[in-house]
Amino acid sequence: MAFSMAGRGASGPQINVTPLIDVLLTLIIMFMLVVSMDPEYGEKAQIPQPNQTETPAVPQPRTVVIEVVWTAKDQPPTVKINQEDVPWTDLESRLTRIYLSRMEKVAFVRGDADVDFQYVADVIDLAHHAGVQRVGLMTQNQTLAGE
Amino acid sequence: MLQTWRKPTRLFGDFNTLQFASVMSLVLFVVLIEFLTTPTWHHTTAADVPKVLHPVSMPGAAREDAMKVTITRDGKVYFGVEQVRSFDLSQKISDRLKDPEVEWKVYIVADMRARWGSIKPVLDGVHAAGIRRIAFLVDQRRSAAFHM
Repeated sequence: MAFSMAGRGASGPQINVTPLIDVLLTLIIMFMLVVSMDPEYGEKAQIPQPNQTETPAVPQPRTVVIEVVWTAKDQPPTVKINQEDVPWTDLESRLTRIYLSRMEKVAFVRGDADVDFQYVADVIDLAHHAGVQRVGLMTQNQTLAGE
Repeated sequence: MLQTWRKPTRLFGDFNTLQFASVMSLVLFVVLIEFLTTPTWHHTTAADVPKVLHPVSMPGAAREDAMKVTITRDGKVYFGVEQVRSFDLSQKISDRLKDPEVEWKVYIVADMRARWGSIKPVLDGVHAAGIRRIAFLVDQRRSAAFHM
C-alpha cells in the first residue's frame, strides 16, 4: 500500500532564512551603534575683543602672538612667534619651552587672509598640545601690547 | 438535524520569513549607505574639515541644538543648513540664543582649504552676537607628517 506525505511530490529546496535574519539584525544594530557613537573632535578657541576705550597702562611683554604668514601660492605659510620666524617642526617645542614656566597659558593667533584654514588649525592644535589653555583668535589687524 | 459549516480551526503560524529577510536586507542597505556617506559631523553642509594630531572630544557638537556654522572651500557660509551672509550671522545666532537651552558656544565647520580671510568675518559675526567661546570641528590625523 502506497503512503504519501503530501501528495504533491517532493518539495523544492528551501533556504533557511532564520540565521540570515539574525545576521542582518545584528549588522543593523552594529551600524546604528557605530553611527551614534561616532565622536566629534574639535579645537577650542576664543574670540577676544580688544578694549577700544582703555589702553593698558603697563605694556605686557609676555603676550605671545603666533602669526601664520602667507608666502606664495601652493606653498606652506611661515609661522612666527612674536615676529620671530620659527620652523613648523620646532613650533610645538618652542611653545612648550615658552609656557613651561608661565602661569597664564594664553596665546593669540593671527593669520593672513590668504592662508588656508588647515594651517591655522594646525597652529591652534600645536599650541594646545604645548600647554596653551586659551587660544585667542585675532580677526582684525590690531597689534597687542608687548608684541 | 441542521449542521452548520464550520471553518476549520487551523492556526496560521506560518511566518513568511523570506519577505521579512528582504525588508531587513533593504534596511541594512539603507543604513550602510547612510553610514558611508555621512561625515563625522551632522546637521550641516559639506566641508572637508582639517585633520590635526591632537583634537579633543566635543560631545556638545553632537547635540541636536548645537549651533554650527559651516564655511565651505569657496567661502560660502551656512548656519546649520541655511546659507547666510556673514553680516547676517550675528542676528541668526542672536535669535537662536533666545532659547535658554542652547549652549553659548558656536561650532565652526570650516573647510581645510577655506581661506582664513573668509573665516574672519564669520568670527566677527559670532562675536557680535555675544559669543566668545567657539570650537573648530576637526578630524583626527593619523600620521605625524607635517608641513615643511
